[in-house]
Amino acid sequence: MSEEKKIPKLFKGTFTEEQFRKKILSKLYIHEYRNYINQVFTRDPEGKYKLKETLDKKDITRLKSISKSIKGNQGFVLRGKLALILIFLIAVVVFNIVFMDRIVERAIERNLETIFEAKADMTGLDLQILKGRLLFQSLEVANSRKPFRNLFELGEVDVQLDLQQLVRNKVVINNVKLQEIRWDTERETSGALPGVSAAKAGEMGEGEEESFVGAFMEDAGEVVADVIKKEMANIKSPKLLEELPGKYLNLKGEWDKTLREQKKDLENLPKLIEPVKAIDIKNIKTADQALTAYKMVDDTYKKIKLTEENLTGSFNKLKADLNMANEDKKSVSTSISNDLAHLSSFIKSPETVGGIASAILDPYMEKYLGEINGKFKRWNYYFEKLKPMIKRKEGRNLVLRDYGRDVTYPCVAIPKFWLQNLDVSLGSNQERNLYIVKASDITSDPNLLHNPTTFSIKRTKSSEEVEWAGFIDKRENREKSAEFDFKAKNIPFILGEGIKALKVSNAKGTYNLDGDLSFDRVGRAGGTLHLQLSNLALDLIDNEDKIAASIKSVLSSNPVDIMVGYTINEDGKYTLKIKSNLDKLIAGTINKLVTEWVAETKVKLEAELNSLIRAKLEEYEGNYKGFISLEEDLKGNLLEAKTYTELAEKKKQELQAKIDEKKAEVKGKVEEKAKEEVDKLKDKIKLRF
Amino acid sequence: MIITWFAKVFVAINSNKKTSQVALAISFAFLLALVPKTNLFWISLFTLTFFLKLNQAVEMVFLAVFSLFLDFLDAFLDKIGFAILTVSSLGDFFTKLFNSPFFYMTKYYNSIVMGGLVVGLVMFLPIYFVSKYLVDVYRDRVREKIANNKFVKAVTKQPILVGIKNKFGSAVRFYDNIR
Repeated sequence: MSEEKKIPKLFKGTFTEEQFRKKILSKLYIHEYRNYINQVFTRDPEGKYKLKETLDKKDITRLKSISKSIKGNQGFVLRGKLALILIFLIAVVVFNIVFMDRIVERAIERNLETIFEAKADMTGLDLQILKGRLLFQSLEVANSRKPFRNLFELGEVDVQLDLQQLVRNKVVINNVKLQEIRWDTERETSGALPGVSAAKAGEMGEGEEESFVGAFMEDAGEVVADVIKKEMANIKSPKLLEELPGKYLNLKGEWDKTLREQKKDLENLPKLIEPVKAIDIKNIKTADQALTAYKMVDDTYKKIKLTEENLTGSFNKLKADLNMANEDKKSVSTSISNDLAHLSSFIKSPETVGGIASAILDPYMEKYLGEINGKFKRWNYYFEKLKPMIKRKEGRNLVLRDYGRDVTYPCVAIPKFWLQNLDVSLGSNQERNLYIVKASDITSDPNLLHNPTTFSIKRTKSSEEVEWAGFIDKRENREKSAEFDFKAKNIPFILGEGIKALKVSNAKGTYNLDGDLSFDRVGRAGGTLHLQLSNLALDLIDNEDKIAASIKSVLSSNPVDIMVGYTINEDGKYTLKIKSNLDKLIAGTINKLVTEWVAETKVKLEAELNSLIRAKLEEYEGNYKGFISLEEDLKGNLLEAKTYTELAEKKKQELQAKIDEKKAEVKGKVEEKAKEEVDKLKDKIKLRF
Repeated sequence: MIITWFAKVFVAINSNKKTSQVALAISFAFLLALVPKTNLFWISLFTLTFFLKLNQAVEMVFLAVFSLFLDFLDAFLDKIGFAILTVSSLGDFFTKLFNSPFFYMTKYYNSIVMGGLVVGLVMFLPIYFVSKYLVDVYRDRVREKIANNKFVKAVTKQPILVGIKNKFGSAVRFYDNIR
C-alpha cells in the first residue's frame, strides 16, 4: 500500500479506452514512453485500463517523471513568469506613488535652475501620469542678478500634458492654469547657485539698472562724473599716459648707460692725445724721426676717429628716438583733445539733440528703452538656454543593419517641448483689479511650428491700464525676432531727476502711452512711442523764481504731447527722434539757463579730464624732458671727440710737411753729390782723350 | 554556455516536450532573427515568448543559427520591405502608423524591419508545421536508430563525451531515464 501511495495521481484509478488514449497516450510524444505505459497498464475484466499491481520502485520513478512531463506540457502560458511580471508592475506603480512626485519635482527644479541660473523651489507636486496632469502648489525662481529677490513666483498650477506625445518622449503641454503669478518678489534666503557668477547673469540686459548718462540740466558735476565713469573705457589718453612715462624712463635709462660708456671712452682720449701734443716739430731733425712720429700720430688719430664715429652713430640713434618722442607728444595732445570732444558729445544740449524737449526727454527714453531692451535680451537668453536642454539628441538613429532604408511619411512634426497655451486670469474686471497673462507656442524647436511664441499681459488696477502684447520669433525663416505693442492709460508718475536745474524739485501727473517696438533678425530694434502727459503739477524749489513759476504756469495748463521714433543698434546704442510741443511751451523761458548749463558742464568736464590725467601727464612730461636733455650731453661728447680728432689731424699734417721738407733736403744733397761725382768722372775722361 | 544551450536543445528534442512547443520556438526564432533588434516590435515579441510555453533553449539556439544567414537575406528583405512600404494604396495606413507614437517606435518604416516582419510572418506557419513534422519524424523514426547505432555508441564512450555527459549529467540522465 505504501508503494501505491507514491504513484502519480494522473495514473491512479481506471480509464476507459478513450480516456486512456486521450488523457495519457496522446500526451506522450516519445515512442518509448508510449510503449512503456502500454506495458505497465493492464485491462481489467470490464475492459478498463489500470496500472499493474506488480510495479517496482524503478517503475514508480519513471511514472513520476512521465507524469511531470505531461503536466509540464499543459497550457500555453507560463503563469509563474506572468505573476512575477505583475508583481514587478505593481512595485513600479507603488514606487511611482511613493517617490515619483519627489523625483519629478527635483528634476523640474534642476532644469529650471539650469535655465535661470538661480535656485528654483517647487512644492506640492502631484503627477497624475495616467490623466496626463501635473499639479503643484507653488514655484519660486530666484533672480540670478538679485539673489534675495525672485524673478517670478507662481501659486497653484495645473498643467495638462499630451500623454500620446509623452510616450514619444515629447513634452507637449496643452494648457496651463495658474492661480497666482507674481514678479520680482522678496526671498528670505539667497537664491544664488553655488559656482554661478553674477557677471554671467549680468551679461543679459546690461542697461537694466544703470543710471542714465548725460542727463540734461542735472547738476553739472554729477553729469560730468557720470559721463566719465560710463565712458572711461572708451577714452584713450589715460591709457596712453599710463604707458608713456615708463617707456621714457626705460629709454632714459638705456641712454644713460650709453652715455656712461661714452664718458669712459672720452676719458681715455686726453691720455691718447698727450704724446701727440708733446711732439715738437722743430726738434725733428731727420726724415726717419719725422716718419716715426707720423706713424705714432696716425695710430692715435685712428683710435680717436673710431671713438668719434661711435659717438656719431649713437647720436643718430638718439635723433630717431627723439623724433619718436616728439610724435608721442603730438599723440598725447591729440588724444586729450579727442577724448574731450568724445566726452563732450554726451552732454545733452538742444543743438545736438534737436530741441529742449529732446534734451530733457532723451535720457529718460534711453533709460526706459534700455530697460525694455535689457528685459528682451534677458528672456531671449533664457529661451536660448531652453533649446539645448531638450534638443533632439543627434546620432540616435541607430543603423539597424547594413541594409535597410527608412521610408518616411507625412507627419505632424511635434517639438520636444511645446507649451501650447497658457492662460492666467486673476482678480475681477468688475472690481477693476484684473491681471491677465496669455502665452502660446512656447517651444524648444520653433522651426517645427508655423507660429511664433505669442503673449499678452494686461493689468487693470482702478483707472490704470497697462497692456503688453506681441510675439517672440526664433524660427530660422523669421522676418522679425520680436514685436511688441504696449499701451498704458492713466498711469501716475513722479519725476524727480533731470529737472532740478529748472528749479523744479519734482513733477507729478498722469501719462498715457501708446507704442510699438520690433527687433529684427540681428537684434536691431526700432519703434515709436506716443506719450501724453497730463494733469501736471510742479513743486518748485524756489517759489520766487520767475523762470520756474513761468514753466509751472505753462505746463499746468497745457498737456504735453511727445512723439518718439527710436532705433536700438546691435551694440545697444540708441538713436532717438523726439518731437514735442514742449519746445514751444518752455523754450523761450529756459533758453538762457540751458546755454549756461551746457557751458558750465563742458568746462567742468575739461577740468575733470585734466585732473584725471594730470599726475600721469606730469610724470610723462618730466620723463620726456629728462630724455630730450640727453641730446645736449651726447652733442658735448661728440664735440669733445671731434676736438681731439682735429688736434691729431693737424699734427699729422704738420708732420707730413716736415717729412716732405726732409725729403726735399735729402733729394738736394743727393743731387749735389751726384753732380760732383759726374764732374769728377768727366775730368778723368778728358785726361785720357 | 553554448554547450549548455545545445544540451538543453538535445534534451528538449529527445524528451517528452510537446512537439508544438519546440516547433513554435523555432518559428519564433526565425521571426525574431529576421526582424532587426532595437525596436519596440522586436522587444515586445521577444518579451511575449517569455510568457508562452515554448522551449526557450530551442528558441535561443535557433535564433543564433538563423542570425548567421542574415547577411545573405538582408538584401532580399530590404527589397521586400521597401516594396511593401511604397505600395501607394497602403500609403494612408502607413502614414497613420507613422503618426502614432507606439507604431513609430516599432520602426516599421524601415525596409528591413518590414521585410523581416512580413517574411517572418509568412514563413511562421510553414516553419511551424515543418519543424513539428521533423521533430515527430525524429522522435518516431530516427532517434532510436541513432541511439542504437554502433558508431554513436562507440563515440559516446569516448572520454571527452563522457566528461560532457558528467558535466551535463542532469540533462543526459533524463535522456537515459526515458530509454
